[in-house]
Amino acid sequence: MEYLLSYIFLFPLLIAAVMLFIRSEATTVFRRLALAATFIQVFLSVLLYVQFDKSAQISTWSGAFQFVEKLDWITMKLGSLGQLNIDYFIGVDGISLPLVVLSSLILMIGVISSWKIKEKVKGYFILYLILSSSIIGCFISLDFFLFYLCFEFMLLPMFFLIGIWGGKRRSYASIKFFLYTLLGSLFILIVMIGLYLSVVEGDSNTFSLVQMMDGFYEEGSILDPASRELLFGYSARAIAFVFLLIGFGVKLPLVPVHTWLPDAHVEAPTPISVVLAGLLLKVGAYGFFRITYGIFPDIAVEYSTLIASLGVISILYGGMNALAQNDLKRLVAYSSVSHMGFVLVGLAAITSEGASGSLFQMVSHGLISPALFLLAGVIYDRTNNREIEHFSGLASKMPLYTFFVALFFFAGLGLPGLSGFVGELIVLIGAFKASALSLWIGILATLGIAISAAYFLWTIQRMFFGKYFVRESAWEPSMVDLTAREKFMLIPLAILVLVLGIYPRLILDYSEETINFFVQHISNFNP
Amino acid sequence: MNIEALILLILLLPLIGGLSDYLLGHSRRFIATVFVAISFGLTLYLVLILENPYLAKLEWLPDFQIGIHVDKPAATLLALVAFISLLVHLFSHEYMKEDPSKHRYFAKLGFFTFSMMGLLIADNLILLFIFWELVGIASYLLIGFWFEKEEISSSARMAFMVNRVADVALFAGILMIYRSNGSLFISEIDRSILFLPSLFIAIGAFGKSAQLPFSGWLVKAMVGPTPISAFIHAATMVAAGVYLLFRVGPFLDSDVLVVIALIGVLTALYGAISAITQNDIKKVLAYSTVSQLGYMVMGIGVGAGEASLFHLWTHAFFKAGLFLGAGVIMHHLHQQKQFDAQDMRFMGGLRKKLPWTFVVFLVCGFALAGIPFSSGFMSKEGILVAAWAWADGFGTWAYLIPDVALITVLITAFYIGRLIVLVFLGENRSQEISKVIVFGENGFIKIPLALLALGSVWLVYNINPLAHHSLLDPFIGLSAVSSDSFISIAATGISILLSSTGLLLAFFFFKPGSSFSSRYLSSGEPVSIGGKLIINGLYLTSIYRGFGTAIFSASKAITWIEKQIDGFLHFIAVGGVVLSKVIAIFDRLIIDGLVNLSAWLAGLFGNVTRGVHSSQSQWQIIWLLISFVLILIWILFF
Repeated sequence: MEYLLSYIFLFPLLIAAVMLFIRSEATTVFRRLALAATFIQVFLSVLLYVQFDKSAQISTWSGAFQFVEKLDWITMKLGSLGQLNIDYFIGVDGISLPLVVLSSLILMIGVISSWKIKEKVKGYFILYLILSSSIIGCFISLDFFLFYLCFEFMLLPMFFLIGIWGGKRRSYASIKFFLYTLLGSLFILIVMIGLYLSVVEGDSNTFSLVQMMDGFYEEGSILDPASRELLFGYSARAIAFVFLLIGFGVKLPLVPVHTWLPDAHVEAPTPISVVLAGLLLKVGAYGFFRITYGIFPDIAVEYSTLIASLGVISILYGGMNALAQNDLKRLVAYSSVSHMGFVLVGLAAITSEGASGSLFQMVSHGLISPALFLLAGVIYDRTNNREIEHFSGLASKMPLYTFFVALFFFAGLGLPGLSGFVGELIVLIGAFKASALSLWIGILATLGIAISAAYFLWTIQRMFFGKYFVRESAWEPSMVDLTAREKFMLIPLAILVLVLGIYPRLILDYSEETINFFVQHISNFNP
Repeated sequence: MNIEALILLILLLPLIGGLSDYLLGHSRRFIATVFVAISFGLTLYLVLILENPYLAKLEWLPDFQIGIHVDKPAATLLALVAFISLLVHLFSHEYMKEDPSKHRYFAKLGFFTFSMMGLLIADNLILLFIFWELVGIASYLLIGFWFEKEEISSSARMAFMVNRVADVALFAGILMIYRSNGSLFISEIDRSILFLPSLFIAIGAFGKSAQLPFSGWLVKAMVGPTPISAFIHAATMVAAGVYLLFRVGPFLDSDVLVVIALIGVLTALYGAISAITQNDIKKVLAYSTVSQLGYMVMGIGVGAGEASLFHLWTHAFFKAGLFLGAGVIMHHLHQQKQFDAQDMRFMGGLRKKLPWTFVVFLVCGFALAGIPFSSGFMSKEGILVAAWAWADGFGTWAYLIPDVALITVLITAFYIGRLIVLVFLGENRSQEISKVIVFGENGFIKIPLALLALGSVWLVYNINPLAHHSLLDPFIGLSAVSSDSFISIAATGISILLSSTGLLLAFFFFKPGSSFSSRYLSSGEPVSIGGKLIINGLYLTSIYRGFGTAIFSASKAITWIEKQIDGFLHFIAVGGVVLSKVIAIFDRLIIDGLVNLSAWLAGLFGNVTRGVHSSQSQWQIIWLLISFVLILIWILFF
């Protein structure tokens, strides 16, 4: 399996290309093909996970990656400007490996959840598979240009998937999403060009993220830390850092550039909400790991209080917003904002606990929030309605559904034994341990666990406890418990949430070496 | 059997038993009960064979260990929890006989037992917190067991949320200890904990052990099935806070210890006073638990952790006895729907119908009141004496604490005396009671009650009924109550005097036929502000609800901010569109206009000059000549 990573990356794209030649009436063929493609992807990812050498010692970033594939891709002479070198350069380390595995799993569950899509099935699945490839591509690219390409390529399918198959206000939501993230990527584009002009491999400029992280800067170039170049009176590196903060912050999402998220989540069809919450947000967080922190460690150290404060604001602000929601899906969307805040707090701690906690929180949230969106979809499928106040006492009518809702709500509110607790615990350990952060950061972040309990338990009480009641009597016949297909999606997620909650080393052992090097690399710049 | 396997079995058997009951379905099964019984047997074995504390560590996260620590106090408390759990299981078979979701009940009960046992043996504070949260969620599930009723599920939620708020403090406190001490193993703490983390830990314990200002949730939690109340009040949940303080007490900041003692004694007083005025039998018992927990917490504060733990132990027996007894009474009366089966004003004369329950109430009630020859007397004395000795070392103001504690003894005896008189003596005050008696006392009821009453007698612990320490001492650590004899004798004497006075007062006020009693029974709810404050327990639950409402309003305000942010961005977007429209107009009118203008001008010019081009060749030749001459002139003369 020499090209294992490429298979995982490009296989969905290949299937999408095949789909082009199938007539569009054959709807079941598309579903089955997409399921087969994602299933093979899961299989290959598990293979990747098993073959990954978790004990490999790391001393430089160039030695940190496994399954590396590097090919010349685009070489272009640019006259006096020199040469444009873009490589097809991919590989995984302990940070991206869990995310690749998570992605293929969530993408497969997304396909199962798409079974009910009736309109324009061909277009839907082709776009979905393109999206799949781009998401995986983001996590494995080691060439900034390739990363950026995949990063941008997620937008287009997403835009159409929301805009065509979404809910009532879909066009508003999809345009909002598109503009927001496009604006964010422009900031990243600027930094990418700046980095290309500053980083060298041998004697030519390069897009290689590895070279950038290892810090091979051309002497005197604009982003060279030694040159202390100023732009409008500010250090060029600090400006680049802030640009990346905004660019990836939009995806994460970071308060106050998060307002695309509730609309996009609410209007997107269920499977797309699942992918959006489970994976797209993780791409933003991954960008923080790999690029913002990986390439600008010196600035990251300087700004750690700012970053941590932004994280805390996201936790509390998102949680408070969730408390006020009446729409189940909106509530889940805001809880995502809150939970992703922990990722930032953990990163800003710059301790190995904090960083592992961030990564774990990403994976854990990548399992919990898709499940929550699936569960919101269950009630929406039956009634075309998600207003919390329109339901009551569902527990006596749909016990299994209630069980899963309770399980994932408990996971979301950080009940020990489930993965959500572990993520928050490690992040908070890291944040409290970090000498760079004030004690109040940790204490305020801890408050988040009370707020999340408040909104989740209140929702359970309003929708599931009390006397059975649904608002429209027309919904009555459709109020049946989970179908086999729904169970098939929820059970694997439930098992993983439970297993990771009890044995978190299933992920942490794989990321430990990389995370330690990552933190050590950053702390070298501690003043 | 090696000790790891033993501990694992003790811990997991209740969980597995409960789960198998759940998975195997509705029929009347005993797997859970049998497994808990085995677990109880194993804990006894463990207590016997345990010589040295057993320590085990496990690297749960990379570079982060968690571990368990089973010493004698932990092992004896394991046995206590298993025992009470077993009795509750037995009792529940009768009590929940007709409930269709009985299997769900036993699963949750097993989970509850498992969590509490885990909490007892956790050495690492994070592991302790994990089980702490599991205990919390288990109690939430059990209190809200009859979730169809709106009031019950919202009470369960309130209980959980009040705990959760305290848990935030506990969690932060634990992590702050990690920051300052570097280790989270209780057995490895070697220096005292700083002020703020100590305070946070204490707040966490106050939450679980229902100390002021968190006491309200325990009264709310009464809505759960009565055996669960017995379990929560006796051995699980509320014991967790006291146990945590017992474990970390020696390392807490000394100022925080004073705070703990003060809060403890105030809670003791608060609970006792509130209990006097209640008409609901379960509420009397609930406030009584609050009050007794206050004693235990106070004991920790004055440095008598062992005495507190002994009181925890004796309290578990007599309070479980009282609660299960109350369950019998309620079940018995429940067949008459005309009145509230928990209101003592409709009871009376039950000693004839429920003789076993009556005896149990007498024995356990005396233990609660602290009458000599009861277990409660011995353990409460230990705390009182220790508090007095502690105050002796501190100075005048510190006497407040033992003094208030002694006054509480009087009140305690009074309210439990009142309860017994109202419920059991005289004649029944509701007419229909004698018609149908389906539910009586049978084996499932009698055996647990008898065992609990037995555990409330002095002889089980020490031959000398006036001793402050017991046979349990070797297991829960030697009691610190070996203070000089004057304090010991004085405290004992005063408290015997106070408790018997309290009982006698209760009897004379409430004995059947007395004028006060008949006036009381015909009166309604109190109208004075003071009376209302007391009967509603200082309106703590209303305060919580107000707090919740305030948070909710704040969240609404934040969504307003959210709308503004979104509105601002929307404004920018709309502004962009408007600007582009303006530019489009500019483009059409001005730029395109200029182009059109030049085109129009060109056309105009063309039209004008078109006249010059004639179709007649003579004219063309003439124009040609004129042009030729003009050009010639230009070249020659300019």
